[in-house]
This record gives sequence, C-alpha cells and structure tokens, in this order.
Amino acid sequence: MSQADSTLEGHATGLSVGPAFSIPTKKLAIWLFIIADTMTFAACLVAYGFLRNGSADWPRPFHSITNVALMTFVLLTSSLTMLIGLQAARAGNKAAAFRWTMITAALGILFALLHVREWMGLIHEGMTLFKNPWGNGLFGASFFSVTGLHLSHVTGGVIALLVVGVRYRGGRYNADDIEVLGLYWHFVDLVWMFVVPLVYLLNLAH
Amino acid sequence: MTTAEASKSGGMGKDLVVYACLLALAGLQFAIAFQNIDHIANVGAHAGGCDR
Repeated sequence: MSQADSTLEGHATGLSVGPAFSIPTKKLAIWLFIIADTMTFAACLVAYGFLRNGSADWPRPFHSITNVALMTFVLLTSSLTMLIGLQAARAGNKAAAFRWTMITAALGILFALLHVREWMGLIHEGMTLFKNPWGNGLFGASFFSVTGLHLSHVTGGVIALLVVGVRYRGGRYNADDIEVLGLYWHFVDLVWMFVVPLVYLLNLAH
Repeated sequence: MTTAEASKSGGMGKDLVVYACLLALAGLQFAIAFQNIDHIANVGAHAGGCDR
C-alpha cells in the first residue's frame, strides 16, 4: 500500500495525523533560523578575534563606555518589554500586548540611533572601512562588519515588531506570532552581549 | 505543563530576575572595563598609542 493510500484510508476511518513536530512550525522555523544565524555571528566574531590577535597595532579607539553602556541597557530593557508584551498577549490583553510591542520597537529604534551616532563619531575621526588614524586598517572593516550585521538584525527586528504588532492588533496574528518574534528579539539581544566585550570593551583607550 | 502554561503561572517574577541578572552581568563587564581604562592607556603609551 502506498503512502497516499495509507493517508486516504486514515482520513476515511477518522484517524487524524498529528503534526510532524512537537512544536508549532513557526517556532521550529525561527529556532532553525536562530541556529543558522548563530553560526554566522560566530564565524564573524571568530574571524574578528583572529584579526585582532594577529595584528601588532590593533587600534583601541573607544574613549568612553557611556554610549555602549546606554545601548546595552536599552537593548536589554527592550527584551523585558518584549516579554511583558508576550505575557499580555497570552493573557488576551490585546491593547497592552500591542502597546508593549510598540515600546519594544521604539527601544530598538533608539538603539539603532545610538549606534549610528557612534558610527558617525568614528567616521568623523577618520575611520573608514580600510584605514584609520590609530593602527591596523582592517579594524574599520571588521568593526563595521560585525556591528553592521548586528544593526541590520536590529533594523529587521524593528520592522518585524511594527508589522507583527499592527497585524496582531488587527486580528491577523496571535500570541504565537508575538512569541516567535520575541525569540528572534532575545537572540539579537544575546548576540549583542558577545559583541560588546569583544568589539568595544577590549578596545578601550583614553 | 507546557512552557506557555508554566510561564503564565510564573508571572513576570522569573523574567524580572533574569533581566536583573543580565543587567548585573553587563554592569560587571563595564565595571571591569572601566577599571582597566588607565591600565590600557599606560600600556598603549609604550606601544605608540596602541597595544595588543
């Protein structure tokens, strides 16, 4: 008996075939994406580490930790607001879930603005992709690659937060979609916790 | 009990604890980095402004 026959017979006798996996498909997909993206970031950070350790004149251009500390605080707090939004969505409080999702998006935008301000400051000091006034020219390429990759994830996350939030309020999405988006947002937050010490804190100077 | 149900019953308490721990860990990183700024600058002075 072929598989198609078997399936038809199952329907005919009232048997139902369960989902292929024990978690919803959307959640499985986002976990697979997170695993793949972890590999991408890991490759970038390992490459950055090799470059840094292999260079005798690796620059230490960061004079202050205030901006990056503020960025970290904003991103960590956005994960908390994402969780509050998810709790509200699970409780069926649609207005609160939408509000907290939008607050999360606003914090993401604030993080991106702080990030761009920092980039502009470095560019103003003479840093480009392949040269800078402090030392190894590859610093710019590696710095902009790693932080740019992360910033692109934050930007994508903000767009997703806005779209999912609006569609959730309109009834097209449900709490599961908020949860899936939350997984992505927490991942972006977690990656930042690796980027900060490697790219910023190890390169502090007066 | 599913994860969602467990999360519902636990409320925000556990989430707040995790948030506080993450803030504390991040704060510790920054505190250590801040303490070492002078040290890095001194080493950098010997290496022409940069060091490794």
